[in-house]
Amino acid sequence: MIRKFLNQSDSPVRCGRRTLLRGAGMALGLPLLEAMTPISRSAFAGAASAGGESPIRMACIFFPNGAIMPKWECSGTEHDWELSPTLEPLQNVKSKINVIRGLAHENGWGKQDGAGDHARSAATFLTSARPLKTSSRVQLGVSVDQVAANQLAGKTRLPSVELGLTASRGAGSCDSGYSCAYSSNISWRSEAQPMSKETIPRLAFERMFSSGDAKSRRELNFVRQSILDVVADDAKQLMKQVGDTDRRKLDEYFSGLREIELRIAQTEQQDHASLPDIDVPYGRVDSFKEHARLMYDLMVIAFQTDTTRVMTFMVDNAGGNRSYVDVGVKEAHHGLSHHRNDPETVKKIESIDHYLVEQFAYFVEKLDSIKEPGGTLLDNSMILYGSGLSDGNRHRHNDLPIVLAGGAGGQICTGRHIQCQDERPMGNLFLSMLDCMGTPAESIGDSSGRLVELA
Amino acid sequence: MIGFSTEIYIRRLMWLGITALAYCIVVAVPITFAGESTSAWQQTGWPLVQKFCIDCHNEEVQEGEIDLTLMRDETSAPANAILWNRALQMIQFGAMPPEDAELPTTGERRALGDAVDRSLYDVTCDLRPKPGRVTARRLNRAEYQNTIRDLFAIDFNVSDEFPSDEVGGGFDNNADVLSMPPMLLEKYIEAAEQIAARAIFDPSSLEATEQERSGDGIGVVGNSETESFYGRILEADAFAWVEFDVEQAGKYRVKLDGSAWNKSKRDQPFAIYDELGTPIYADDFKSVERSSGSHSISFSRELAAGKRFFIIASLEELPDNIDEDHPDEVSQFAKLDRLDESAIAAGRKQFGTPLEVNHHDVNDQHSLMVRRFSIDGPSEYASADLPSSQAMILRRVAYQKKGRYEDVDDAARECLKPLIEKMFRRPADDETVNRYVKLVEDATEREESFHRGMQIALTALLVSPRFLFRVEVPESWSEPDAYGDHALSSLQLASRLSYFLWSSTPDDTLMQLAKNGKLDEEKELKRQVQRMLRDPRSRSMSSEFAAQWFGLRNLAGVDRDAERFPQYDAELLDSMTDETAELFRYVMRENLPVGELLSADYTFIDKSLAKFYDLPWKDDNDDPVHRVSLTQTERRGVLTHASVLTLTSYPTRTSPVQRGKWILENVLGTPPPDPPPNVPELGATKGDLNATIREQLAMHRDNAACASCHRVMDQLGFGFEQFDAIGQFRQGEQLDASGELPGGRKFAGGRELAEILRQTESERFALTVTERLLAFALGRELTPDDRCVTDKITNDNAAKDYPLADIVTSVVLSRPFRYFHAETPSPSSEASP
Repeated sequence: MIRKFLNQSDSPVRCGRRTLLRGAGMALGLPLLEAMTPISRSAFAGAASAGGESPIRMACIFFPNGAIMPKWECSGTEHDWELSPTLEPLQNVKSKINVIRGLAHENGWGKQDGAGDHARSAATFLTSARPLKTSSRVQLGVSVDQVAANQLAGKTRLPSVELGLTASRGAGSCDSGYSCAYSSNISWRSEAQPMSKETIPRLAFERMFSSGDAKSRRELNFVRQSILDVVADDAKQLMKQVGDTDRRKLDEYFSGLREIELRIAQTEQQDHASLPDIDVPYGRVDSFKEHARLMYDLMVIAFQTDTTRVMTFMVDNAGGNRSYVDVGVKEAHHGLSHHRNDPETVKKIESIDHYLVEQFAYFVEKLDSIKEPGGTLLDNSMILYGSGLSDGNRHRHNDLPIVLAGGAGGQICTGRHIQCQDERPMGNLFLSMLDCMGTPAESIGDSSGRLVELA
Repeated sequence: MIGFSTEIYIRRLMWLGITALAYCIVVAVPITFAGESTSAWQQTGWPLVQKFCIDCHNEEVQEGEIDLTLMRDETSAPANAILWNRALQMIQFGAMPPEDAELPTTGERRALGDAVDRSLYDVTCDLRPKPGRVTARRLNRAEYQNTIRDLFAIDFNVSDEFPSDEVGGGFDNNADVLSMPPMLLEKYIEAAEQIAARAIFDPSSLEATEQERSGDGIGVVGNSETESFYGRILEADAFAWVEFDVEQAGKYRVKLDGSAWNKSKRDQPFAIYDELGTPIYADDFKSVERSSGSHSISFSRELAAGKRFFIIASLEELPDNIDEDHPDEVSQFAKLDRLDESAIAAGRKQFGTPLEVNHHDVNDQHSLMVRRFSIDGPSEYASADLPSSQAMILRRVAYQKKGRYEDVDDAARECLKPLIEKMFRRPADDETVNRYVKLVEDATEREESFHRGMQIALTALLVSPRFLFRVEVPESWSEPDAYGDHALSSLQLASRLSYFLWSSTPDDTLMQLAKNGKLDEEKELKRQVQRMLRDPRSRSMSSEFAAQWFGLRNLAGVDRDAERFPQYDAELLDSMTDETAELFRYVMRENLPVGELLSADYTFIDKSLAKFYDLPWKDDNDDPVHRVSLTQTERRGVLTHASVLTLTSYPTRTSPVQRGKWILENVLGTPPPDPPPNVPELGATKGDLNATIREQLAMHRDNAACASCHRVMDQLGFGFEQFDAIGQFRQGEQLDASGELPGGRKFAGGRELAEILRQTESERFALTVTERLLAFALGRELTPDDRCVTDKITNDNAAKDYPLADIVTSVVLSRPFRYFHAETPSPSSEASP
């Protein structure tokens, strides 16, 4: 699969970087430089500082309700093209992404199953398989990320990480008789087992970087510290009222408090030294933008520290109804997506589409800012961004809006606008991505082969 | 602490003095008077001191380093109160002067005693009655355990968690020795976490799951069609059913989505039944405009674990006055027999098989559309399984909207304000309440449940110094009286009362009375003491007060030679301890004279002690402890209880010395000092192993260093020689249990000795009880000033022969119990941390 070709210096296409470096014998000098970046001092530095080649990482990001396609679609040829208005936020990394057109999920279409396109849009997104229409005994297929994660198991602390911004509904049906599991998960470990996602950043952080014991100890200490703060205030108030003899008794109490606080502080300090330097608040994060960026930050760190090499992220559940007030849209996303071509409504969806791409661009740029042997973290990754629907208004499952960022360590040439000749199963893209991950599969869902256009 | 050690020190010196008298060199020292006085002391008291005492205790010859020339001027008595007091005890008890010295007549002894007493107490007691001050008291183990029990109905075993408390002045509630090492604070935090988790159950810790049945998960008996969103359209005669596996019993949210489904779009009454066909909900559904629409109803229901069925069927009409929660008007489901095994099996077979949409037009047969049925939970355990403290603490739970709490501040405040008042034993100011409310808010902001937040707040409350310590500072409105002392406020009195009589927190009644200021009134105080002593919580008076007074706690782990005493085991030890506690309770409950404890010719025993004492026993399942008569035995009162007799023995033999010492300490209130250094163990001296204990102890009288103490001590102990080292009567053994107390009070055997003590030493015994009660009530060592109070209490109760409960009441009414001397906060009292 590895296509070796040298890019012309005036071409915006970037690929074969790893091959090039290796060929030129320059790779040797790099690890030393990388050893000086802060992350390599962390206990989580992992493979990134181990010298030699960087591992290939894969992330798949899902957004719901499709997009306004005319604003999404780019113009131009494979190498000579312009970013569309919706994808404009990706301008800085244009040379490191591929916009792919002509991919479809045949299994997304209703056919004999009737209503439930949103459930199917998420279910098919990474599996290319048809979900069994039931609210109780789910049955789908293994998703691309899990195919990779299975084969990479043991190489990293976590085989895969599943994130999202909206909690799953554990059971029940969310869309026309489909189990909620279909709508709220894109990662499937087996036909019947969705990988439920973490939506609270702090919990995601703990899962990524703590053992269970450390996590509960941290929580315990956190709660204890807040308790000590309160009772110390009680004691201070009391101190003002008592005479010297009682003061001596309360002094014993205070020195007890101080001793425990000191111990907590020491534990925290040790703990802190072993953790990535990122401030992750406890609890839910209210603002969508903050929440999304915090998750993206965590994804960057998880890759950077080689905590995992496979991640999925759902910007929202299928049929999601978030109101994007940040860009002046008060109405719910799904409701708006059935815009019936009303210009006002279409405009609102456009601004949502654009806004979501902005967040994605934040992630991709951040990945690109991390230097690694062989380029940047982005260069060594494959970041799939897209939806299981193209036209949300009519629930179309073909010509899906798909961006693939990163060059998989030089295995994929980037900076291209790839337009497949005929409609291609998404599964074909997945097989190609799995090849790049070094975790090949024979087929996935309704795949019919590799996506030759990618090579 | 200083008062404590000084007094012990002086007592010790006094005894050493007595010891040394046997060989003291009598040196005549010319006594000169500073000036003639005509006071009673100078006329009677001082001349007697000169005649009988001063030869051995003067400036030059200070036997035991006691110089009684300090008694020359009675106006200095308050300053030398400990010395005067000790001299008084020695004189009154007859322990001084020693036998080999010139002895006063009974009349002279009484005259000297009265003179010392008057000089000492008339002077001190005429001065301002000092109530003393009590240091901030940490709850001791028993108080902590009882407080937790009474606040939350939680049995928390402190002995597993906390180290035992130090004892000061005979009791482990002594404020000055109750310290707070950092290790203990950490244990308090751990205990608080445990208790909070037990007191408040957090439903979010339950594995709550939502189970839903829709479309192919809904069974139908009768004719039905399927609409485009897989709802089941029922004909009027048909009904739908769903089944769930409920793993955890508890409260569930039951929800049904559906609508009326008929041509005329009229409302459709329906009912939901359980598996027995009993209606559990009835309502009517409206029809819907759009095909995708539906209505939903939901209600809470406690579901038992196991397979649960729900049946949904249309009704012809909805009975009037239907109450959703009690649809009693709806009759049993008539078609239950149609949901037989084969119908259920057929339904289950169909579950999960995708349905075919086959609905076309609404026809006349249609009645109801059932689209979805779910149960969500458990949100709470079944109410019967919740801790009883849950409802007391959680007066209100913050409600959730879309999974977010809405009114945490208000709800937490509503719960915490009364809780803080209960736990801090006083109303809390807003600033304090806010601190704890914030803990709950912070927790819910971290996505913890409201319940978890309340657990955290409760944990903090349990660690607060306001809970762990009883601090008495003048209320903001309190003005010192003419003596500069503060009266305790009603609220402070409530705590003193409850921790004295119950070793626990005040109950609602006390708190209510306190808030209304009623506890300032003597009448109400008396009423409360009576009420509290009748309350079962007053068992602490025997388990905490009496057990420590009598030293019974030292019985735990007391060993006995198994060959000699095969009957002796831990179970018997418990029975022994219970006997003494039971007699104390009885005397207190019945308000009998305290002397009853010494001479009771009845006792309270269980079956094993009956066997041990060889007393008749008749099984009675309702009552494991019987009151039995002792008139036919040699036993009388606590001195002959196996508990006390065992406590005062060695593993292989009795110890008259220990027994005598026990009586001196706990009955007569005159503890002897430790033996002088380098005294050899008994038996290791003259080597005559065949000598009886009595013969061996006779050495005490040969040895001048021992004689004066042991003269009294050993005599007392001999009285109980009929009882062996585990308190069993020595049947048929020829034992000499005779003796003589000062003043020629001869006796033979424990029964006679107990009766002599009862008759001749009741007042001293009452005074001892009073002193112990006051020390326990105040949580501090008594000072000489307190003697005025204990004397008064004893005198006041003399007419009725010192009834125990009355003495308790007098202690409560006394000035030290109701007043305190406050230290004013020094300017440097700003908190340092």
